[in-house]
Amino acid sequence: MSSQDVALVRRQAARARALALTTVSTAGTGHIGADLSAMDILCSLYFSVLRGGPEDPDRDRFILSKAHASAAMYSVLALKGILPEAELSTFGGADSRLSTVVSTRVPGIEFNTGSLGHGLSLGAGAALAARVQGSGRRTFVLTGDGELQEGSNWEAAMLAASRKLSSLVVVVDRNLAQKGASTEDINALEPLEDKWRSFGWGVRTVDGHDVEALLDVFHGAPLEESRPTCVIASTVKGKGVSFMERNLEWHSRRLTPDLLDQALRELEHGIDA
Amino acid sequence: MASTPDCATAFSAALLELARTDERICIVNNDSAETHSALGFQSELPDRFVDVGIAEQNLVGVAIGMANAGLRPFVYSASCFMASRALEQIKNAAYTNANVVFCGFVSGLAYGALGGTHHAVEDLAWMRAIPRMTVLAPATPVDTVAALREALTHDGPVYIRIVSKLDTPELFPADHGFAYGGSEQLREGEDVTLVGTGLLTSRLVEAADLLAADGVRAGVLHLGSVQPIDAEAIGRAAARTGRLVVAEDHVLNGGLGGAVAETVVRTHPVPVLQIGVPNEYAPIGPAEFLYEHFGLTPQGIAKRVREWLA
Ligand SMILES: Cc1ncc(C[n+]2csc(CCOP(=O)(O)OP(=O)(O)O)c2C)c(N)n1
Repeated sequence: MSSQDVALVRRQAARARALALTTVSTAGTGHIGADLSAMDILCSLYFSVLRGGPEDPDRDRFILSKAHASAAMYSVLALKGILPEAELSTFGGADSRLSTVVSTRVPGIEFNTGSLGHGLSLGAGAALAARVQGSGRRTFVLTGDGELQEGSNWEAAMLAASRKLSSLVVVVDRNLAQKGASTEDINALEPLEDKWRSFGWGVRTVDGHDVEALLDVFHGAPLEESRPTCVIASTVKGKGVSFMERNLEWHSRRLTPDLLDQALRELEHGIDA
Repeated sequence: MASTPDCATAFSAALLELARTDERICIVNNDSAETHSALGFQSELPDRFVDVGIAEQNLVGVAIGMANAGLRPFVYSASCFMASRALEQIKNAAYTNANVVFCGFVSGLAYGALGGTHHAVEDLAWMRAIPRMTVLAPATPVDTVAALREALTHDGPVYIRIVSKLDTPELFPADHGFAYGGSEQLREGEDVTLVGTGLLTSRLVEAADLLAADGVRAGVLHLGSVQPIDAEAIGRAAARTGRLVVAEDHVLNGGLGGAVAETVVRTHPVPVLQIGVPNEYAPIGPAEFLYEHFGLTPQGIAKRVREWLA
């Protein structure tokens, strides 16, 4: 990883945040809190880590299990040149390709996710396929934290460790929030590091908005030899917009033009968090 | 014709009202209290409100466990996640004859642009295939509350397909009772009978009005009880009008159209026109766009019927 990469990722993350905010505001629908929570992780992966474009059969695989962060995902794909930026304005609209949870209608999307808890099994399968084909490609799965309440995740976690899938990395967007409340109040995940470790994974917790830390762990994976890697990324739902940060209402609230302006101004000047 | 509150809101308000005096009533839900208007229940009766988080198989299993102790759990979830993800648990609820009410919210295409993961258009077929499962699809807020009262007194599992996010005009008086295994003849007609359930019933009533303007006398039959189904009423309609049209926001395989067709071949074979979601995934777009796309609007239905009768 180079310092140029860090600067590039930061720059692109700022641009992608603005695109995502504009996208959900124009559409009057979406999950902006989840988008902003995941944005630095997505940009770190797309602008420094993942190898190979959508047409390359040996590309690294990325699976957005928390598929409702779709405006973030499409914004990143637009900045990568995989999706025309102008198309973002069709998000959720009649006959658009841009479903409001990601789908394979959109170039660059590998799977139809959106029903939570599917991504890690898909990722384990993708990693097994890479092994069968003798490829060194890697597989990254981004999951929500509330999403980890789905039992299928733990079935896949067990399998990935027992098959020593060291090319598999799961990133947990640990914003502590799910839809209605904190994960710890609904169905507690802690001690989360211990859970993954006891399932046989190498685990590290990082600041999910610290690009340097993210690149460091992604480029360095696997953390432990012969083990899959779990990165618990501590994040803030709504990161970058003061009135959204840590406010559960912004899971899926409508962003009016006035509030959009305010949000974009904050992004430009940076906020005192 | 009042259009507020909608079916889901009316259902949740009525359930809270009933739960104030019936201490067996509980809600088990999957991080969806606000979406399904259960925040009032959660704050007023927190001891009988269980949020298992995002975990639908657990959701249904927990409810069955609670029913075993004599409680009356209502499983609250978007129907797309509950009916599919936890289908085996639901089947076992029926096998066990557990008194669990499965509340499938945001049914049909109401989730619009979220796409195929969120559309619940296979649930009638899945639920109908399960022995002992009662399947209800009420049409309006009053009908939905009536279905709730029926489910609460029923012995065994009940699946209620609930209309959320889309308005339905009220068709029934406030004291309307739900006809378990029965039906509602909403319009009389000699030329054809339009048969529907859930969201589509009120659209069929409007379609019948449109057809009447063209001189087509269409009857409308509401089958809010999909299982058991009112075979007698279907047979009567078939005998009287000689043709049936079934409309549903559901795939054509195994839904209400399937149920009606199975019934008429046994009792009084007549041609049946099925209007619904063909064997394909919906495009992306807002819910009403999708309903138009599949011709599931009063205008769309009237057009198909006119073409069919011509
Ligand atoms: C199987 C399933 N159940 C429920 C939902 C509804 N839902 C969409 S987003 C969400 C909350 C997700 O929380 P989390 O995983 O923590 O992600 P975050 O939005 O906080 O990043 C829920 C419950 C769903 N999409 N899939």
